[in-house]
Amino acid sequence: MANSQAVCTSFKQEMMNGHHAMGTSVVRAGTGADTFKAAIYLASATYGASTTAYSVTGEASGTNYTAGGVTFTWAAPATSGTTAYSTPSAALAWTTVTLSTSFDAVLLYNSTQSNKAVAVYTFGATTITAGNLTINMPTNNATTGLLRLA
Amino acid sequence: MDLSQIKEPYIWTSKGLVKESELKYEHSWQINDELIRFDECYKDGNGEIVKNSTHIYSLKPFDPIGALQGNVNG
Repeated sequence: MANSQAVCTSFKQEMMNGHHAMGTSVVRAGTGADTFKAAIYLASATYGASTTAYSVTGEASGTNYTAGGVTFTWAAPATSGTTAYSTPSAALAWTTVTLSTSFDAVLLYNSTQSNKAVAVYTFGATTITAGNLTINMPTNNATTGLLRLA
Repeated sequence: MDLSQIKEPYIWTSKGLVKESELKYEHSWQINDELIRFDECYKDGNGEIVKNSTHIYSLKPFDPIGALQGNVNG
């Protein structure tokens, strides 16, 4: 059996778990997972790939919505084949909120690490009146997991 | 309001508790390659939306971060 060039699958999983630092890193308070949050943004905002951190600019506001959004946890990063993957472990949910200004995106960010941005998820223009917003996550596997290192 | 005396369903709206029978319920589905989206709303007699909710099921994850793979001599 010959050698084969590859990025090791274990490395991909370990990146998700914060084991490797190829540049200046941060002092971590412990070995536990960071705290991640999800915040809603107005359709008029411009969050996307160039976003580096959470900001109140353009964030939705209204009854029963707390600035900064809701806390969520990731499923423990896993691997299948050569892909490492993880997905929020439960739906992102806001209950009995009124958000009258059109919004269409959620920013996932790391609250522990200076609110650094992770990803922006869009779903079409929406308003909510005295109701619920629920964003259910895809199945957590190597094909449909929300975040994958393939 | 003494909730024990209520004989028919009320729901919470932007105008407080309202008899469900006085509201019109509407719902819609949007299904495409990226998501399944269910919208539902209640309108009062004037056609004003007094309660609505949206439930989204994400079908499409973010594109995999695949640039890690590469040929050193490439």
